Amino acid sequence: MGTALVDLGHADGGSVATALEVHDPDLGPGTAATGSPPSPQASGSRARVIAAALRCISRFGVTKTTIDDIAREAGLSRATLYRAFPGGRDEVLGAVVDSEVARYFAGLSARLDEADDLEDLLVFVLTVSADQLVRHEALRFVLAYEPEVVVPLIAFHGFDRVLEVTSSRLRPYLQPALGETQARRVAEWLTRLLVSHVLCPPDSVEHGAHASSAEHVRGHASFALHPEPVDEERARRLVRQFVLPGVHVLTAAEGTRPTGDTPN
Amino acid sequence: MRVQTDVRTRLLEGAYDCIAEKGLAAMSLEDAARAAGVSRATLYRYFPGGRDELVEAVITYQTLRFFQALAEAVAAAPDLETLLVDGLYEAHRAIEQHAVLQRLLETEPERLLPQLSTESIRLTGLIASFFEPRLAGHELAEGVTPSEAAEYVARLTLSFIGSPGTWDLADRKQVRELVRSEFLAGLVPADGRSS
Repeated sequence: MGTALVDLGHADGGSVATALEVHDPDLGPGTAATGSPPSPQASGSRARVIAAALRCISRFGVTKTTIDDIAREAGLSRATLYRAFPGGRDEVLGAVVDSEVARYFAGLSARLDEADDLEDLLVFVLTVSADQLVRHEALRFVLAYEPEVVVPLIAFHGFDRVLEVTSSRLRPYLQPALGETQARRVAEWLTRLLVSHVLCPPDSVEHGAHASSAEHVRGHASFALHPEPVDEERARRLVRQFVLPGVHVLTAAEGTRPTGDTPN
Repeated sequence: MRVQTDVRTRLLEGAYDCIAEKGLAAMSLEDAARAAGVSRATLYRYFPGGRDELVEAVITYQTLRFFQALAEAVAAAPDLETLLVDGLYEAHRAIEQHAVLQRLLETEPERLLPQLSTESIRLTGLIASFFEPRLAGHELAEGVTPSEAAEYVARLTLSFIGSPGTWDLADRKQVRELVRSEFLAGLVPADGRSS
């Protein structure tokens, strides 16, 4: 239930519409893909194929990456690749998304575990997430050259789904201090600030009549990621000045004060 | 000059009508030119890049009109909180009721959304420009400048307009709770908001 369906068109005419599923956050990478557990040998091939596919996407993009490119990059025969991924290209792409989403949240969790208080926790959500996103080579390529592949995932209803997944992942960290309802809201709030800064870096936002026009590549709308859209200083400023006071209003309205720290 | 502006606007509106009827991919330049009452050659004089440039210009034009209408609808709000509450409520309603937008989101998201999303940089600046003079006339929390506050409000506003998440923006009571917490709590002095 609750999966986001994404159509990834194919370069030649969009005849192959791929249904990519971002699986429920509680499920690990690839666990929803097939019924029977893969053999150790097959799961080793799977990991190789996923890594190879990711490298291909960073180089050629999603639509131009073929199953032969992936097999060659992985150093496997087509037959071996299809044994690991009977669903072929569509299944490989789905597994890449699952694997990258899992890696993203694993990287985030590792840092969140180090946070001493609510403020640090909220700051780390912004800085670590931003850092991971802008350094992601495949994501950079796709946003710049194939925004039609990824933007539907992060805009309008697609973004509602991102908010849902992110808040369910952050809930374990925020819920002890904030309670369930407010933890969800605060997780969404941070995700909004994060994505806004990643897609519209602070320097790009011009106030006044001469608001800058968006960057265009090859006549397409596209995004070039800023190397540091939310640095530590900016994240701490946002959290201290805007988020923490709001968190206290939210929790006060509900009658539960956040535990941990107090606003200055 | 005056005449030129009118032709451009007519082309943008003619093309929009065609998109509303047929969608982004099926809109033809002939139809757009005919709807504007000009020749295909004239259309190319205004949009040398052809359909890509025209479609992009239509999306920019319609997006700006959407926000201008929104700004006018809420301009009379007596205070900042009401302005934000009315703005979010009205924006959400307008998006939900925007038949052309909703249909394109359903049928051609891959054509519409990259274009619409790159508008977000421009729109963040535009919304910030709307709020900045209003915030300049308002008492702000210590150390917060109208410019910083305006950009913060603009980012959140744009995010909520497209994707309400767990908030029900059709419920004024919730919108007010949202505005008092996520939008205004850190922006206005603490003693001014508890009342």
